[in-house]
Amino acid sequence: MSQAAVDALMLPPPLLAAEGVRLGYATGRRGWFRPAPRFLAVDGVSLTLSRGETLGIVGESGCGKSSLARLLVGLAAPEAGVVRFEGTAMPAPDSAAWRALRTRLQMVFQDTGAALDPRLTVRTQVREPLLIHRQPDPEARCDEVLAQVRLGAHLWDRFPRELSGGQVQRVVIARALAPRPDLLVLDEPVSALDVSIQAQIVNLLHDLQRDLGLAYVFVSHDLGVVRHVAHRVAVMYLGRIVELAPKAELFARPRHPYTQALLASVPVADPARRGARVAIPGDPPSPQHPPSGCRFHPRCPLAVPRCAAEAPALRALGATDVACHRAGEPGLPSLAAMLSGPRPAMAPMSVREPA
Amino acid sequence: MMLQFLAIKSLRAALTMWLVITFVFIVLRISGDPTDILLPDDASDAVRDFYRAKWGLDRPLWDQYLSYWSALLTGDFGISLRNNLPAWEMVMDRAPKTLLLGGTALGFSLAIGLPLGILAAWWRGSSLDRAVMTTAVFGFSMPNFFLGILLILTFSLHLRWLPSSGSDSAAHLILPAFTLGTAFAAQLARFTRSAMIDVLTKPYMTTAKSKGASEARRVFAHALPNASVPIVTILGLKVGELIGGAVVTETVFAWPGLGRLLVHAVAVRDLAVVQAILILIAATMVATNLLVDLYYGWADPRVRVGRTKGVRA
Repeated sequence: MSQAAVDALMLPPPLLAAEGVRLGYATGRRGWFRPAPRFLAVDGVSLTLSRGETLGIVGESGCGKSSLARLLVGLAAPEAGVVRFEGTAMPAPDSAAWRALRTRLQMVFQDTGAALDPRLTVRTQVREPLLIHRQPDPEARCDEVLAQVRLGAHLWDRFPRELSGGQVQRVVIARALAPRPDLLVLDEPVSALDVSIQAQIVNLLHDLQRDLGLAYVFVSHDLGVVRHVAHRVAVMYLGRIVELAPKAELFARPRHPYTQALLASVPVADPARRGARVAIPGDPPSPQHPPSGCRFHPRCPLAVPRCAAEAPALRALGATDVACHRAGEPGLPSLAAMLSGPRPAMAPMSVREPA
Repeated sequence: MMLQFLAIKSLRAALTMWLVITFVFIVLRISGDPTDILLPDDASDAVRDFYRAKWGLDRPLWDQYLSYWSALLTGDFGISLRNNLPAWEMVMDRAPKTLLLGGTALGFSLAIGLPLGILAAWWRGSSLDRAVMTTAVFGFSMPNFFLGILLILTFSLHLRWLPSSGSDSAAHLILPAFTLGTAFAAQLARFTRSAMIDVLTKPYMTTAKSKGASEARRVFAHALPNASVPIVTILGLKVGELIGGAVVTETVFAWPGLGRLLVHAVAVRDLAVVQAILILIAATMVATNLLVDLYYGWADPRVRVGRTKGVRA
């Protein structure tokens, strides 16, 4: 047995691991002679997450990041691949084992206002998971966790409608924290909030991680927020991870042209650098008919014939994993520089409509 | 706060009752003369005038209205012009039968429609869902007289299992209650299904699932209470209909209920009886709606008055 294999046996498994997971949706009705049309929202994603770590997942709307979040937390079962929690494959949704696992991993949903039952008070909702899982002293735990998210005690017997957006978000987080999970999957947790409230919630999440050793999967389209919270960042494009890197590395040396374009499109609060802001030309292609090969190639100015023919696999490039045939070529121009450069650079950017 | 809520609702209920009584009173008096129908065609004018004076129909309308009210407040609903019995007594004679039939039909609809609607919603798109919804369309498209006659033909004439008319035993109740309840069971199933689907697709249902709540808990602790508001609303409307609107079914099965009495009393312009029945139906409607309003307050905290203080969002 090789040393590497021995190490693999000795190391504890990561808290959460996805191995080539795929998830598709039907987009129409089944016909008489053809199956229902489908598209793959998540197409072969692999990643790992350690205890106490935050993995950011970023991408445009429709890139499959929310679907990936549902897979990671086990609300959806992958049609291929496997999600492992502490090395054990995720049980089927709604099985007894799956329900028992709800005390270990929890999810915070996108639309927090609608994520609370309008008929029940804050306290009732936060206490419910404790009652379901018969945890000791639910009343005390409920009060403890509501205090932990810094929600004023005078709000604990209110109904969701009587709370502001930031307060509701605290309740949703408290509810997720109540059964003492090891992992929170947060799907756009701050997108609906005012910027000042966003900062409060992000700081709260940060403190909770420090105090409780939580691991987060933080899904967001907002690179600024992800930059603030994540240890590592995965960039998704049309159901696939195109780049996965430690945060500092990703923001300093983005390897994938899409990541570069994404970073370059973020508004910069610095007048001296304002000129560098660019937009990626074209819309993301329809996920029902993804382009061949590298899915970014119709929008990529660096694309070569190989990009349309062969899908690039994630490969290590320094500390970064990147799925691009051309990344790492010496003398390759940065996409941001090309896009913000003189006009002719725009010429090769034709957006081909996929057949 | 609760007292204020009750006071407002009760005041509104009283106002509704006053409006109904007044409206019925006026419409009945100006829409025709009872002596035309109750007296023979060849009755002399002197006889007609005698009866008009006896029944107080010769007095001005406002005068009749005031004396009607003063009698009403002492519990006197007037005398049937037809057979000289107190109108209230005639109505109360029939009311228990109608309550029995309507109540049984309502219970039957709830027992069938509610569970089927919930199941169809939970497994929406499944063959069970389609079967329930197809049956429901069939159930409420079938007119009561047709279903009633069909049942009589099958179970009374052909199989000879159940009696076809009258109200003497529990066996007499089965066919009319089934006839009356089928259409509502079907409506209720469809209504429950759509209300439940509306709630089941809400994010808080996913939240409940991710809390680890069992399917039963999700349905009965989260979905049903939230879906109950529209369901209870239609229930409230339906109760009044079951009390006053069972005319066809009562006729087909010769069931001695209020519906048949009402139709008969209208036909012969028996003012006091018509008025008493309409007051009873209106009172039932108002009372059920009051109960429904109270239910809203209990089921949906958003409706509760006075809790809006200190709302921030």
